[in-house]
Parts: sequence; C-alpha cells; structure tokens
Amino acid sequence: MNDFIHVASISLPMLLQGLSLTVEISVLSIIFAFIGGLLVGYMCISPNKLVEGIARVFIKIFRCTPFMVQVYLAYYGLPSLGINVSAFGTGVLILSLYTSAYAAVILESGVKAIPKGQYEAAAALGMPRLKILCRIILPQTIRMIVPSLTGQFVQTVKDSSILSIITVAEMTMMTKEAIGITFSPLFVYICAGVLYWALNLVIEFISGRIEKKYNRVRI
Amino acid sequence: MADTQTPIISVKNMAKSYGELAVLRKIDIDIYKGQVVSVIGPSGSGKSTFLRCLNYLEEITSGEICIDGQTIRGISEAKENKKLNEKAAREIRKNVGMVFQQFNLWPHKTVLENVIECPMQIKKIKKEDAVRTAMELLKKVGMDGKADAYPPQLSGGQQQRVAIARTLAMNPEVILFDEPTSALDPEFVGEVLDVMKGLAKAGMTMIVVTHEMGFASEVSDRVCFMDGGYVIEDGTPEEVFKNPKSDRAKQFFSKILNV
Repeated sequence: MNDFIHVASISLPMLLQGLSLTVEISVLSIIFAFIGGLLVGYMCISPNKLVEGIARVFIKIFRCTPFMVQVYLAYYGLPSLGINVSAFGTGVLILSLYTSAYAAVILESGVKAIPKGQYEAAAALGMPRLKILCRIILPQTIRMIVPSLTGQFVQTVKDSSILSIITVAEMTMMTKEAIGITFSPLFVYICAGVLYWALNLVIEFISGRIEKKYNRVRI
Repeated sequence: MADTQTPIISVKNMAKSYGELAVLRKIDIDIYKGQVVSVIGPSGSGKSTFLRCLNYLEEITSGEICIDGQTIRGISEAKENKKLNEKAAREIRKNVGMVFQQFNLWPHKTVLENVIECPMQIKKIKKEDAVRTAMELLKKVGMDGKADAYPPQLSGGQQQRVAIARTLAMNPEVILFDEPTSALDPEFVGEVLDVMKGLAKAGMTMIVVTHEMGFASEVSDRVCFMDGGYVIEDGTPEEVFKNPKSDRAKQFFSKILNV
C-alpha cells in the first residue's frame, strides 16, 4: 500500500502537468482546425476550379499520410526550410492542419446535404453568396455536423499523444517519464487513460450542450 | 395592361439546354405591368425552367431577357456574359420575387425571422421597421398568429403563405410562382390560392407556373401553354382553354379538363 501511494505521489503530479499541456494543445488545435476547416471547406465549394483544386490537394495530403509521418516531417522539415518553431508550435501547427483537413470534409458534406432550395430562396431574394453561406447555409450545416465534428475533435485530443515523439511534454510523454521513474507501467498507463477519457468526456459534454441548444426545434 | 406600354419583362429568342438536352428551344414573350400570366403545360415542357431563367437561377444558353432595363444574355454568345449576367441578376432579383413549390423557408429561423431577414440584411432596414412591415404582411396572409413558430411546425399551406409574405417583404414588382400549390395537401390549396388571388386583385404582376386550371382560367389575364420548349399557345384564358389552336393543347385539355 505504501508502494502504491509512493508511485501515485510521484506520477500523478507529472501526469497532471502533462495534462495541462495536452489541454492547451488540444484546445488551440481544435480552434485553429475549426477555422482552417471552414476556410478549406469554403474553398471546396468554390465555383473557381483552381481554388477548389488547391483545397482538394491539401485534404488529400493530410488525410492520406500517417499523422506520425507528418509530425516528423514538420519537426525536421521546418528548420531545414529556415523556419524555427518550438516543438510545441510545430505540434499545434501540424495537428491543426491535420484536423482541419477532416473538418473541411465534414463541413463540405454537411453543406451538400442542405437542400438546394435553401440557397435558391435566399439568392432569389437578392442575397449575395457569402451572406447566404454565413446566414442560411452554415447555421443549418453546423447543427447537423456537431456529432461528426465532436468525433473528430475527440480524435484530436487522442492524436495529440503522438506529439510526444517530438519532445512535446504532453501527457503521453510525461506518462513515459513517470514510468521511467516508478517502474509501474500498468498503474501509470491506467491513470493516463482515465485522464484522456475524462478530457474527452468534457468535450462530449460541451458538444451535447451545443446540440441541445440548436435542436430546440427539430429540422 | 395597355399593350402600348413597354413590357416589364421582355424575352427574346431565349433557349436553354443542358448539354445535348434542349429544354427551352425558342421563347419570345413580353409581359406587362399588372398582368397575371399562368404558364401551363405537360411535365417536362420547360415551364419551371422558363421561370427559373427569368431571375437567373438558371443560365440561358442563347437569346436575352430584359427586365427593368437589365439584360441577361445567353452564355454561349460571349464569354463575358456570365459576369455581366451575374451583375444584372443582382438588380433583377431586387424587383423580382419568387415563390417555390417546396416553400424553401429557412427552418432555423422563426416565421418572423424568415420575413425580416432580407429587408434587414439587404435593404438595411431597421429591425423595428422590418418587424412592423413583416407583421402587416403576415396578417395579410393570415399568418400573424404564428410569427414565433418555426417552419417545420407549420402545415404546407401555412409555410407557403409565409413564403409569399417573405417575398412581399422585399416589395417586388413581379412575383414568379413555381407550382406554388403542387406540394400541398388538397385541403390547403385553397388558402394559398386565395392569397394569390388577393395579390392579383391588388395589381401585382405575377407569372404562375401551375397545374391549377381553375386558378389559371379565373384569375389570370393571360395563359401560356408550353410544350417541348416552346410557348405554343398565348392568349386570354378564354382563347386558350376554349379555342386552342394547336392539336397538342387540345389533346392536353381534353385529358385534364374532362375528368
């Protein structure tokens, strides 16, 4: 029992320290990915074929290569291009880009599911395209895709663990370090798992509230 | 509707095709202020496409449409027409409203919000003024009691009446109706037609694509019968229904009028 308390007293503070960085990375990446997803999604539905093409290539690159490869490429690639960013910055950047590719696809499919008449009614009344997208199409799209976006953002939290490979001291890296000190992998991994789980429960709770707010009227 | 005045809508030589498929072959028609024109004809004759071309929801392949001094031209004729058309369409849409078969109310906004959206967003009218006008219009279509309801909570007839109010809120000179009663349960058709009759009496210029022959013959000044991408009959309801010139129209009326 004393052993257990000893292991916990060493590893838990380390895990919590890692957790705070995981939260920071996740929140930043989710915000950037949402903005990036909107932008890339908007490019996907552009009438300009070149703009659409750029968005499609972006999505293809980030969806069709392993996240770990992207992380390493960014970590070693950016400095060789003369761009010096901290490991934390690189991590947030690559996780944001990776997630925004998925968010863009979710958004695009949501927009395409809105009946064409919704757009036409606004256009026939003289509304300009961007205004139609922002005021008529996007609000209907968002409420429809909240569940899939939530799934993607939960995935973002989990993917942040991969950033441990480029020395970002987030929770998974701290888990490994705590194991190195305590030699109790089972206990420490259980704790880390529970903390990830709790963090994602929070995201799902928030998403549930958003869904509830939007779905006062079923459409 | 003196024929000497300049037409509010003038369509010349208009054709529309989707690739190989020609939907409208050659349309020439002038429509004057205050006219109520019913466009009838079999499915696939191009009625709805014709209507949708008028406010540029569809591009036209060749020919031209003049509305209020703005011109939409066939995109096959010159490359820059597309850009020019978009500009003209923005002006045209300010004066030409449209009511759809599927109502197309915005489900995330209340009835009142649907009606005030465009006056506020496009005409920059102050909210209190927009709301006052909207409530008057909703009263006119008998929907003022449902101002705070969401569209999915309403019947089809109610939704269509709100959609008419939403169009009226932009104060259009012409309203295009694309089969406004075709998606309605039979019991709700009357209430929508009543609102439309009221508008016709008040002098609104209306072009109505419809299968309601009763409405076409009672309310409209003019009936156009379309088939195969042409307007093949164009005259008063009396002329078109009683003495159609073409065999195709005779055949069509004999099928639908004697049931």
